[in-house]
Amino acid sequence: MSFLQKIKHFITGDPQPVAFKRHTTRDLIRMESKIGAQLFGPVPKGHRREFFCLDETAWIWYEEWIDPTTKKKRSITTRYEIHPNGILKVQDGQPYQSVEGEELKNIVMAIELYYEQVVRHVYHHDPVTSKPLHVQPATIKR
Amino acid sequence: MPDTLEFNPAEASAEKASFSMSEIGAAEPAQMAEAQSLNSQQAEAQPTVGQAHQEVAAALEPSAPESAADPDRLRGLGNRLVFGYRAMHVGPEDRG
Repeated sequence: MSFLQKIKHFITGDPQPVAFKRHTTRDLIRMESKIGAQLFGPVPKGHRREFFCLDETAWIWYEEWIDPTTKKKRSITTRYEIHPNGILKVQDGQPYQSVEGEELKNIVMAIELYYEQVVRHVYHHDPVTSKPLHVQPATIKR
Repeated sequence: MPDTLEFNPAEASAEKASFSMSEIGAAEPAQMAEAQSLNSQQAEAQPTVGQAHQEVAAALEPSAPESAADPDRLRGLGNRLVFGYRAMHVGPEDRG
Protein backbone atom coordinates (compact mmCIF):
# COMPACT_ATOMS: atom_id res chain seq x y z
CA MET A 1 0.00 0.00 0.00
CA SER A 2 1.41 3.32 -1.04
CA PHE A 3 1.87 6.17 1.37
CA LEU A 4 -1.06 8.05 -0.13
CA GLN A 5 -3.26 4.97 0.17
CA LYS A 6 -2.26 4.64 3.82
CA ILE A 7 -3.14 8.28 4.42
CA LYS A 8 -6.49 7.79 2.69
CA HIS A 9 -7.11 4.69 4.74
CA PHE A 10 -6.19 6.52 7.94
CA ILE A 11 -8.48 9.43 7.13
CA THR A 12 -11.47 7.63 5.68
CA GLY A 13 -11.21 4.39 7.60
CA ASP A 14 -11.81 2.41 4.42
CA PRO A 15 -11.12 -1.24 5.02
CA GLN A 16 -7.82 -2.45 3.62
CA PRO A 17 -8.34 -4.71 0.59
CA VAL A 18 -7.04 -8.22 1.10
CA ALA A 19 -5.10 -7.84 -2.14
CA PHE A 20 -2.72 -5.58 -0.28
CA LYS A 21 -2.15 -8.04 2.48
CA ARG A 22 1.37 -9.46 2.36
CA HIS A 23 2.27 -13.10 2.82
CA THR A 24 5.46 -15.05 3.17
CA THR A 25 6.55 -17.33 0.37
CA ARG A 26 5.83 -20.24 2.68
CA ASP A 27 2.24 -19.07 3.17
CA LEU A 28 1.76 -18.86 -0.57
CA ILE A 29 3.25 -22.29 -1.19
CA ARG A 30 0.88 -23.73 1.41
CA MET A 31 -2.09 -22.20 -0.35
CA GLU A 32 -0.86 -23.33 -3.74
CA SER A 33 -0.13 -26.84 -2.53
CA LYS A 34 -3.63 -27.26 -1.20
CA ILE A 35 -4.82 -26.85 -4.76
CA GLY A 36 -1.94 -28.89 -6.18
CA ALA A 37 -2.83 -31.87 -4.03
CA GLN A 38 -6.29 -32.00 -5.60
CA LEU A 39 -5.09 -32.27 -9.16
CA PHE A 40 -4.52 -36.01 -9.04
CA GLY A 41 -7.93 -36.95 -7.79
CA PRO A 42 -9.04 -37.83 -4.29
CA VAL A 43 -6.31 -38.44 -1.74
CA PRO A 44 -6.68 -42.04 -0.52
CA LYS A 45 -7.76 -42.44 3.07
CA GLY A 46 -4.79 -42.28 5.37
CA HIS A 47 -2.64 -40.51 2.79
CA ARG A 48 -1.34 -37.00 2.82
CA ARG A 49 -0.33 -35.42 -0.45
CA GLU A 50 1.33 -32.22 -1.46
CA PHE A 51 2.19 -30.93 -4.88
CA PHE A 52 3.69 -27.53 -5.41
CA CYS A 53 6.05 -25.40 -7.41
CA LEU A 54 9.22 -25.00 -5.37
CA ASP A 55 10.89 -22.60 -7.77
CA GLU A 56 10.72 -21.81 -11.45
CA THR A 57 12.23 -25.14 -12.47
CA ALA A 58 11.41 -27.52 -9.60
CA TRP A 59 8.12 -29.16 -8.69
CA ILE A 60 7.62 -31.28 -5.57
CA TRP A 61 5.24 -34.19 -5.12
CA TYR A 62 5.09 -35.53 -1.57
CA GLU A 63 2.98 -38.48 -0.51
CA GLU A 64 2.73 -39.90 3.00
CA TRP A 65 0.80 -42.96 4.12
CA ILE A 66 0.70 -45.74 6.68
CA ASP A 67 2.12 -49.01 5.46
CA PRO A 68 -0.69 -51.55 5.97
CA THR A 69 1.79 -54.32 6.67
CA THR A 70 4.19 -52.68 9.07
CA LYS A 71 1.73 -49.99 10.30
CA LYS A 72 4.59 -47.56 10.03
CA LYS A 73 4.42 -44.17 8.40
CA ARG A 74 6.03 -44.05 4.99
CA SER A 75 6.58 -41.19 2.63
CA ILE A 76 8.06 -40.47 -0.71
CA THR A 77 9.25 -37.15 -2.04
CA THR A 78 9.68 -36.71 -5.76
CA ARG A 79 11.35 -33.67 -7.19
CA TYR A 80 10.69 -32.94 -10.86
CA GLU A 81 13.18 -30.63 -12.51
CA ILE A 82 12.56 -28.83 -15.76
CA HIS A 83 15.71 -28.89 -17.85
CA PRO A 84 16.20 -27.48 -21.36
CA ASN A 85 16.16 -30.97 -22.83
CA GLY A 86 13.34 -32.48 -20.79
CA ILE A 87 12.12 -33.28 -17.30
CA LEU A 88 14.18 -35.19 -14.77
CA LYS A 89 12.96 -36.63 -11.50
CA VAL A 90 14.75 -37.64 -8.36
CA GLN A 91 13.28 -39.54 -5.45
CA ASP A 92 14.65 -40.13 -1.98
CA GLY A 93 18.13 -41.56 -2.39
CA GLN A 94 17.61 -42.57 -6.00
CA PRO A 95 19.57 -41.39 -9.02
CA TYR A 96 18.07 -38.95 -11.48
CA GLN A 97 15.73 -40.44 -14.06
CA SER A 98 14.35 -38.97 -17.23
CA VAL A 99 10.56 -38.67 -17.11
CA GLU A 100 8.92 -40.30 -20.10
CA GLY A 101 5.71 -41.79 -21.40
CA GLU A 102 2.55 -41.62 -19.33
CA GLU A 103 4.30 -40.03 -16.40
CA LEU A 104 5.61 -37.26 -18.63
CA LYS A 105 2.11 -36.54 -19.90
CA ASN A 106 0.81 -36.52 -16.34
CA ILE A 107 3.39 -34.14 -14.94
CA VAL A 108 2.98 -31.75 -17.87
CA MET A 109 -0.78 -31.77 -17.42
CA ALA A 110 -0.40 -31.33 -13.67
CA ILE A 111 1.86 -28.30 -14.09
CA GLU A 112 -0.50 -26.68 -16.55
CA LEU A 113 -3.50 -27.33 -14.35
CA TYR A 114 -1.64 -26.16 -11.27
CA TYR A 115 -0.81 -22.90 -12.96
CA GLU A 116 -4.39 -22.39 -14.11
CA GLN A 117 -5.99 -23.24 -10.78
CA VAL A 118 -3.47 -21.43 -8.58
CA VAL A 119 -3.51 -18.24 -10.61
CA ARG A 120 -7.29 -18.28 -10.58
CA HIS A 121 -7.99 -19.34 -7.00
CA VAL A 122 -4.99 -18.13 -5.00
CA TYR A 123 -4.01 -14.99 -6.89
CA HIS A 124 -7.42 -14.19 -8.37
CA HIS A 125 -6.18 -13.47 -11.84
CA ASP A 126 -7.25 -14.83 -15.18
CA PRO A 127 -4.53 -17.37 -16.08
CA VAL A 128 -4.88 -16.68 -19.78
CA THR A 129 -5.08 -12.90 -19.89
CA SER A 130 -3.33 -12.29 -16.52
CA LYS A 131 -5.99 -9.71 -15.74
CA PRO A 132 -7.48 -9.54 -12.24
CA LEU A 133 -10.68 -11.47 -11.84
CA HIS A 134 -13.70 -9.34 -11.19
CA VAL A 135 -14.68 -10.54 -7.77
CA GLN A 136 -16.22 -8.68 -4.91
CA PRO A 137 -13.16 -7.33 -3.10
CA ALA A 138 -12.69 -9.00 0.23
CA THR A 139 -11.76 -6.92 3.22
CA ILE A 140 -9.89 -7.60 6.38
CA LYS A 141 -12.18 -7.88 9.37
CA ARG A 142 -11.27 -5.66 12.22
CA MET B 1 2.33 -47.38 -3.52
CA PRO B 2 3.06 -46.30 -7.08
CA ASP B 3 6.23 -44.32 -7.71
CA THR B 4 4.83 -42.39 -10.64
CA LEU B 5 2.22 -39.69 -10.78
CA GLU B 6 -1.26 -40.90 -11.39
CA PHE B 7 -3.73 -38.48 -12.76
CA ASN B 8 -7.47 -38.57 -12.66
CA PRO B 9 -8.95 -35.13 -13.15
CA ALA B 10 -12.44 -36.54 -13.41
CA GLU B 11 -12.24 -37.53 -9.78
CA ALA B 12 -10.65 -34.34 -8.59
CA SER B 13 -12.74 -32.47 -6.11
CA ALA B 14 -12.07 -29.20 -4.38
CA GLU B 15 -13.91 -30.36 -1.30
CA LYS B 16 -11.91 -33.52 -0.76
CA ALA B 17 -8.39 -32.21 -0.31
CA SER B 18 -7.21 -32.19 3.25
CA PHE B 19 -3.66 -32.07 4.54
CA SER B 20 -1.30 -29.97 6.54
CA MET B 21 2.03 -28.60 5.43
CA SER B 22 4.16 -29.41 8.41
CA GLU B 23 7.14 -30.21 6.20
CA ILE B 24 7.42 -26.72 4.85
CA GLY B 25 5.92 -24.75 7.67
CA ALA B 26 3.96 -24.59 10.85
CA ALA B 27 0.23 -24.87 11.31
CA GLU B 28 -2.23 -23.86 8.63
CA PRO B 29 -2.27 -20.07 8.45
CA ALA B 30 -5.31 -17.95 8.93
CA GLN B 31 -4.80 -16.77 5.37
CA MET B 32 -5.72 -20.22 4.12
CA ALA B 33 -9.19 -20.01 5.59
CA GLU B 34 -9.48 -16.55 4.18
CA ALA B 35 -8.43 -17.71 0.72
CA GLN B 36 -10.82 -20.65 0.90
CA SER B 37 -13.61 -18.32 1.83
CA LEU B 38 -12.83 -16.19 -1.17
CA ASN B 39 -12.58 -19.24 -3.37
CA SER B 40 -15.95 -20.49 -2.29
CA GLN B 41 -17.45 -17.18 -3.35
CA GLN B 42 -16.18 -17.82 -6.86
CA ALA B 43 -16.87 -21.53 -6.97
CA GLU B 44 -20.06 -21.32 -8.98
CA ALA B 45 -18.39 -19.37 -11.75
CA GLN B 46 -15.40 -21.65 -12.10
CA PRO B 47 -15.01 -24.09 -14.98
CA THR B 48 -14.44 -27.75 -14.32
CA VAL B 49 -10.89 -29.04 -14.07
CA GLY B 50 -11.13 -30.61 -17.49
CA GLN B 51 -12.49 -27.44 -19.07
CA ALA B 52 -9.86 -25.36 -17.38
CA HIS B 53 -7.10 -27.54 -18.70
CA GLN B 54 -8.41 -27.33 -22.22
CA GLU B 55 -8.66 -23.56 -22.00
CA VAL B 56 -5.17 -23.16 -20.64
CA ALA B 57 -3.60 -25.63 -23.04
CA ALA B 58 -5.26 -23.90 -25.97
CA ALA B 59 -4.34 -20.42 -24.83
CA LEU B 60 -0.79 -21.11 -23.83
CA GLU B 61 0.31 -23.15 -26.82
CA PRO B 62 -2.49 -23.66 -29.30
CA SER B 63 -0.41 -25.57 -31.82
CA ALA B 64 1.27 -27.97 -29.39
CA PRO B 65 -0.13 -31.38 -28.53
CA GLU B 66 -1.34 -31.52 -24.94
CA SER B 67 1.08 -34.23 -24.02
CA ALA B 68 4.18 -32.54 -25.41
CA ALA B 69 6.69 -31.57 -22.77
CA ASP B 70 7.94 -28.19 -23.83
CA PRO B 71 10.51 -27.25 -21.18
CA ASP B 72 10.51 -23.59 -22.15
CA ARG B 73 6.76 -23.37 -21.78
CA LEU B 74 6.80 -25.20 -18.43
CA ARG B 75 9.61 -23.04 -17.16
CA GLY B 76 7.65 -20.01 -18.29
CA LEU B 77 4.73 -21.06 -16.12
CA GLY B 78 7.06 -21.51 -13.14
CA ASN B 79 8.64 -18.15 -13.80
CA ARG B 80 5.30 -16.40 -13.88
CA LEU B 81 4.24 -18.06 -10.65
CA VAL B 82 7.45 -17.42 -8.73
CA PHE B 83 8.56 -14.06 -10.06
CA GLY B 84 5.15 -12.75 -10.98
CA TYR B 85 2.27 -13.72 -8.78
CA ARG B 86 4.22 -14.81 -5.71
CA ALA B 87 6.48 -11.81 -5.85
CA MET B 88 3.45 -9.53 -6.00
CA HIS B 89 2.01 -11.01 -2.82
CA VAL B 90 5.11 -11.44 -0.71
CA GLY B 91 5.85 -8.95 2.02
CA PRO B 92 9.15 -7.07 2.06
CA GLU B 93 10.40 -9.06 5.06
CA ASP B 94 10.27 -12.25 2.99
CA ARG B 95 12.17 -10.93 0.01
CA GLY B 96 15.71 -12.06 -0.43
